[in-house]
Amino acid sequence: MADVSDNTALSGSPSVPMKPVQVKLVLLGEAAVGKSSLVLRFVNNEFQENKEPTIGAAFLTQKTRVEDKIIKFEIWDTAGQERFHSLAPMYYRNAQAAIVVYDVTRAASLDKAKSWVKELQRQANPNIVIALAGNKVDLVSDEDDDLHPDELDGDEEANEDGDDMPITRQVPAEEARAYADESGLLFFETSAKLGHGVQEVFNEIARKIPIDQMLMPSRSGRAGMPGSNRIDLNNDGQGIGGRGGSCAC
Amino acid sequence: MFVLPLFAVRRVERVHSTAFTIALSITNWHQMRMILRLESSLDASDNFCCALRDQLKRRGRTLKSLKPFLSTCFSEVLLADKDAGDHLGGLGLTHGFPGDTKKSKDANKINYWKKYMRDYGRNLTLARLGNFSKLVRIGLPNRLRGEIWELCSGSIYYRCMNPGVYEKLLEDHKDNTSLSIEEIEKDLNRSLPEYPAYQTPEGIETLRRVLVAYAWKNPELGYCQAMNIVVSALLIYMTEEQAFWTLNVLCDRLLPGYYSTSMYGALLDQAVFEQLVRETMPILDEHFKRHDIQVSVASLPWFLSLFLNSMPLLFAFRVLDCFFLEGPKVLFQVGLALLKVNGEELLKATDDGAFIDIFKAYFLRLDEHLYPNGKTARMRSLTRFHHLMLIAYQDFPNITNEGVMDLRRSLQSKVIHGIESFTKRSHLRNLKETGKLNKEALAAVYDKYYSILFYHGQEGVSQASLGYAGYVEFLGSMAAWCLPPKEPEEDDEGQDEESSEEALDASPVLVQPYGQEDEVKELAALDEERRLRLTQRLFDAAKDEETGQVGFQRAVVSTGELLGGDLLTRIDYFFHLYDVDSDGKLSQAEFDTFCDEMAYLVPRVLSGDSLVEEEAWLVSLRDNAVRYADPPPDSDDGVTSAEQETSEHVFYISLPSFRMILLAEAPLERLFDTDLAASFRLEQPPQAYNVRLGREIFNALWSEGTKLAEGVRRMAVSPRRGSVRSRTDSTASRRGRKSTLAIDTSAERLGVPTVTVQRTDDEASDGASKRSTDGEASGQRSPAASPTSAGSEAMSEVDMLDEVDRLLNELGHGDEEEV
Ligand SMILES: Nc1nc2c(ncn2[C@@H]2O[C@H](COP(=O)(O)OP(=O)(O)OP(=O)(O)O)[C@@H](O)[C@H]2O)c(=O)[nH]1
Ligand SMILES: [Mg+2]
Repeated sequence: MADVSDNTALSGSPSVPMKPVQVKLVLLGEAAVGKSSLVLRFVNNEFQENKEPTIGAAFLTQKTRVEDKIIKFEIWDTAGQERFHSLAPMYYRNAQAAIVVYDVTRAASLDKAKSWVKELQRQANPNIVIALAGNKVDLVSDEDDDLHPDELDGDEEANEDGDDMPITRQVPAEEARAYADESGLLFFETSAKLGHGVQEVFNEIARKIPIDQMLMPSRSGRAGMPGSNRIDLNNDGQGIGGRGGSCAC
Repeated sequence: MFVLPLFAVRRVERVHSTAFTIALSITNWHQMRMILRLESSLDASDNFCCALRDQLKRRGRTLKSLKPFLSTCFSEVLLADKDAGDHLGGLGLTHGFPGDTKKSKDANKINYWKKYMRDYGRNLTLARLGNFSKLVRIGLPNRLRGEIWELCSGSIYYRCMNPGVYEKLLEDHKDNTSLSIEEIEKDLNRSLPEYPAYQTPEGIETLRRVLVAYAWKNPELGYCQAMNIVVSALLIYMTEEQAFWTLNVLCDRLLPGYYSTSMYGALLDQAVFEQLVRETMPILDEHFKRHDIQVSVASLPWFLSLFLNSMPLLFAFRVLDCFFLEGPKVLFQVGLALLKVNGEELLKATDDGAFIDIFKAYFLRLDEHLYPNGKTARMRSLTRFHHLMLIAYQDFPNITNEGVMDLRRSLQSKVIHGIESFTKRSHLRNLKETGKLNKEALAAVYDKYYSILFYHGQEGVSQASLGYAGYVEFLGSMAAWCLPPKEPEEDDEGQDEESSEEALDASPVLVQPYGQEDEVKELAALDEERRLRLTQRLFDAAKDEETGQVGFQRAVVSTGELLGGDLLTRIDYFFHLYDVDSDGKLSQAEFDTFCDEMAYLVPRVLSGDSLVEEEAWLVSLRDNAVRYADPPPDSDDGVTSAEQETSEHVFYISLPSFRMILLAEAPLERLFDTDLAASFRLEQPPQAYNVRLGREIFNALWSEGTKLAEGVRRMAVSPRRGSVRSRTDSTASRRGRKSTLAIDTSAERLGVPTVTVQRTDDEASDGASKRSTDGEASGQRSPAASPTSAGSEAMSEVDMLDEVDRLLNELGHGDEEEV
């Protein structure tokens, strides 16, 4: 992958002083849809078949270049199980970008994704750039899978875990895309396993972030936040894990 | 802590009684004798002795009957110098234990434990005296780890008292499935993937069974991610059944509420942790505040997974050793130590990300030696991990389990409030439509709905939606007219006649002034019937066709129709309520029902002085209906409407006519314009708040404690958990030939006499001679009789003692902090 692994590797090219712009990005989505795997693919370009579930959240960083700027993603990869939900605000507060992930082989995971989108649109930073990612397309890579679900077994990248049941796509790309368009989200189908679409999600987000506004004088830290980014002590964005009281509704 | 199950007591004798004290000599199953000196008033001591005697008489079983149980304890095999092969242990036996056993001096440790157990008992009779704590803190040997964990956590008693329960749970539910089971499946091959057993079907199956059994044991909790990691760690050292009961103790007692559906326990402990950071390291705390760094982004996973997914496994197990030994305070001590040793770095971090990265890097270097060029071997061998634990114990000695409990208590309402309002927010946010309610009304409706749901759920299985009774109660909690008239005080229950009369007088019902008693009763019955019909109608309109229940969404929408919107929307809603066949018009029968039920509603909703005689407006309502009614649509269709023509006043009322008719009637206009909506009171009854979570937390934090205490009391001599403190007698030799165990004064408060256990060499040999007369000594080793080890074993023991010595110094002042 052509990832930029460190700052010095880049600093030579343009004449503009290359100071990476920090972008806080959060991954949300149902358990086991592949959030951590997407991050691992993006950051280390690897895939682990048996990734441990994320407890609370994991934090990773990765730089990427968009046009003549370097973006340093600060990635918060959250836990997917429903009962961890109440912790999420602790991680998405101040996020400038979010990837909401679902699993194309599980329709229910799209519903969960939609509810995350709704929550972000109401509670998170108002300018947040949201991408919807339908992951695990490798499991249904047979294009007209609805017609030949059985042929999947012969597929070179056939799944290893679904021994008896053939895996079929449950979320058509068009359906998800329509939803994404209507809700103003970026949309991608991805495979963390094969690496398909992963770089693209992050690049597209990087392009969509209003970087110029963010290159304001403030130093590293939360350079990305337009305006004040102190926590609003009694507002919705504040999760219960956070300090300060949370407001009533 | 010192627990001796009653069934492990062989004999009790009074010895050394003086005028002021009583001493008891207790011989336990493993032929060890200990002297309990009761340091209290004679009365109290006598009471204790009587209680003990009664309990002993009543005990159902003796240890003898538990032979099968003992055969599952590795310590028995170990002390019999037999080879257990790859039985009596966890997956580590077949798949290897993490770490290098040479480096951890495993064999030496085993020998030392052997010796300890010969002196101080094993499994059910083990007393924590002398160097017990130190032996645990230096790291448990692989083979014994599981058993010592279950001993320290107390789960061994559960396992012992509940034989077969684990297998039965699995058997009973082998064909069942649930959401938790699905969630478990998702995580099975994602648990400690670095440990080879979990890449095999055998390992995964083992993990599955323990998690599934627990999910059925405690369906309310079910399964929480992180449990898979904890259990897969336990299973390396424990059998399935051991791990299962230890998981029980973890969820119920050591980590209460951590894995519950709201995870309040984990959040509560984060609040506790932050508070401790504030108190112990104000400079760091100040720095975190300034830079808006939330400590829990890093610390939450530490606590939830007991450091297993943060530290390299080998070190996490060492922390677990201490955690089981000393309780939850250890997590806080280690957490604080982590902040402390990284303090300088942390002061440079200016955001959550940098903050978390510092720990990530630190954990990877835990095995580094701090002073590779140190002067002494001891210095050179000191690793970062040792250092961390040293700081944990030395710099934070004041963190106690009691202190943690106190903080939990004082912070819980804040945390519950946070969770409540979060849950509320997300429930409200996830509403598909908010109906005609504004934000405040929504919030109030939420509170009413869920407090009713809670109360109804209590009786049976907890429900996710309301049936008719619940829905009426829900509406009634806002609008009194939905409920039957309140009975007056229940003091004269005998007088049926009178009380029902009073009920009518006291209720806001319009009582005909000229009514005779019978008439009054009749009218009340009629009104009650109208109320039932009206509320049933409201329920039917609100309910989900499929389930026949009212979920929160439907409760919101239906309530909105009554108290939100405006005059016209409310009239329209009523039109639909009475248009039972939904043909878009009210038949005469439908309209009559409407009038009848309005006769109930109007007087109860309209404010007092504006009441009009019922007769008057009802009559004029009916008259107007006839006037404005639409002609029957198919009046010329003679065949089908023949039936209708037989009645004189056949008419239909369309929605526009309905509006007109109602608006022409002042009381009805006011009903729909303002008074109906105003009859709903939304303010919050103060006690409704937090009911649900409050109960959950209360249960977990306290009754779990009592449950356990009861369980333990049932089987133990020890009067109350935690009230027994042990200390090494200052004159005692390091090998613990003589030791004292004292129950401190806190026991006195509980009405239990203070007890001192003293065991000396003389007494022990004394015991040995007694035993030989008992003729039961076969195969049992008495502490005094245990042969002094020969040659090589003695050598390794010296090594071991050095190691212990080193850690005595290293880990500070041992377990004497309480004394
Ligand atoms: N075939 C296939 N499997 C994937 C893909 N991405 C993830 N997985 C698998 O799905 C499982 C879950 O992946 P994770 O990345 O841990 O999922 P997650 O969303 O982070 O899960 P939580 O942390 O529990 O919320 C793992 O076994 C992965 O190997 C993919 O693109 N294709
Ligand atoms: Mg994950």
